Amino acid sequence: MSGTVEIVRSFAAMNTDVETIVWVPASDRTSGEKALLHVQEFFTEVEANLSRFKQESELSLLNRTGGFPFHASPLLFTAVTMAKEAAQMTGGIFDPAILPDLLAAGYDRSFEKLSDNAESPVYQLNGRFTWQDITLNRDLSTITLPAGAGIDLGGIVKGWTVDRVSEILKDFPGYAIDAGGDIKLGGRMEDGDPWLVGVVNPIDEQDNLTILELTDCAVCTSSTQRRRWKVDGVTAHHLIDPRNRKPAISEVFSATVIAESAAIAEVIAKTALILGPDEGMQFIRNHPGVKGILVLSDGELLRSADFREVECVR
Amino acid sequence: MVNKTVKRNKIAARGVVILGTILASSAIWMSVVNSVKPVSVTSSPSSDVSLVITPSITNNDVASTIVQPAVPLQSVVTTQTTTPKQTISRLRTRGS
Repeated sequence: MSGTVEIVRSFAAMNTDVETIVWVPASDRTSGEKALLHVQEFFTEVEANLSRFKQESELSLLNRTGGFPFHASPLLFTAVTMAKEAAQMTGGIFDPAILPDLLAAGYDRSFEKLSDNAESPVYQLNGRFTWQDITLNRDLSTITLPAGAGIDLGGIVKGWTVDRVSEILKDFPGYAIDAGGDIKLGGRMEDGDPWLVGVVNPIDEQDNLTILELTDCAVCTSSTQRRRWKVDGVTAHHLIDPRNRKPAISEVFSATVIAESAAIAEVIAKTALILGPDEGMQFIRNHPGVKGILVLSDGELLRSADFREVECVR
Repeated sequence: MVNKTVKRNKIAARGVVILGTILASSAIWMSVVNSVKPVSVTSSPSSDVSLVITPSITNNDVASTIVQPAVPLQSVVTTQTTTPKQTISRLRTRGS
């Protein structure tokens, strides 16, 4: 791909740093720059509508309207439908309805504001609900939550957004979208080689546990070692185990999953982490075409059988 | 007279030592400088680097949903030809 240039657009969205990269013919920089602008606009649009941390977002409106049918935009309806399907796929281990439990665990405002007691949470919820309590009416485009219930779409929507914007970039010779470690890759790098992605060591973030050679796929990681905070001296994190409604206690510190879709990789990684080493790895293996690596609390690495195929440092 | 000559010789000897030290230091320094290969900024396409900051692009094109972001999009855009290795180091998957 001689004569190509790399265009990079970096911005903040969804409470994380997003970096987008395209390789374009040198004569066609403008189309690359425009495409990346559209990518940022889409991220901003989705965040404005589907962030639970924004008082005025459509998701926050839904979460304040429990007990009544809520007429949803196509964007929100699609996102909630996808989240329910993911919950079904994971047997309820991934559950968008754990928001009251997440709030109870102390995650009641965006992560960077958790230490700011002066900041009021967007809303308060209580009760125990599951994804099966979310009622969708496709004909009327309505979503109905029980009173006191609420939905968190954080991780899955970020993955879904990454998938969607990859459609904007798919015709370029090579592209990468990195939304805080949720990554989707298309084509190849300038010299025709696959993209290389480091898997961060959850114990030492400066360190890569391994390097992956990837193309035309997504890779996402869930970890209990990030987004942690303390409540009454007890450390909590953002991955709720719906079986006991508490931050998951798992021997798995982080789970990295490679799949065709970032939304699927995100859901499988989170589920594998919550399930623990044995069940979690089995869950990864149950999905054809999906590869994964689990980092255990004692430093042991568990790989799915075909994971080594994409490792270039072993 | 003898004392003056001895003193002059001492001063001259000290001067030679100082001069020698300076020359030796210079030689070491020059060898270090010469060992650093010059970076080409004109002959290689990989030097074509530009940085554009776009603080005030508004989001007018998106119209399909209810809430439109009111704030301008903040971003940093770079355009460059690079070796692939530079790109590699930026991509790392981590828990989010």
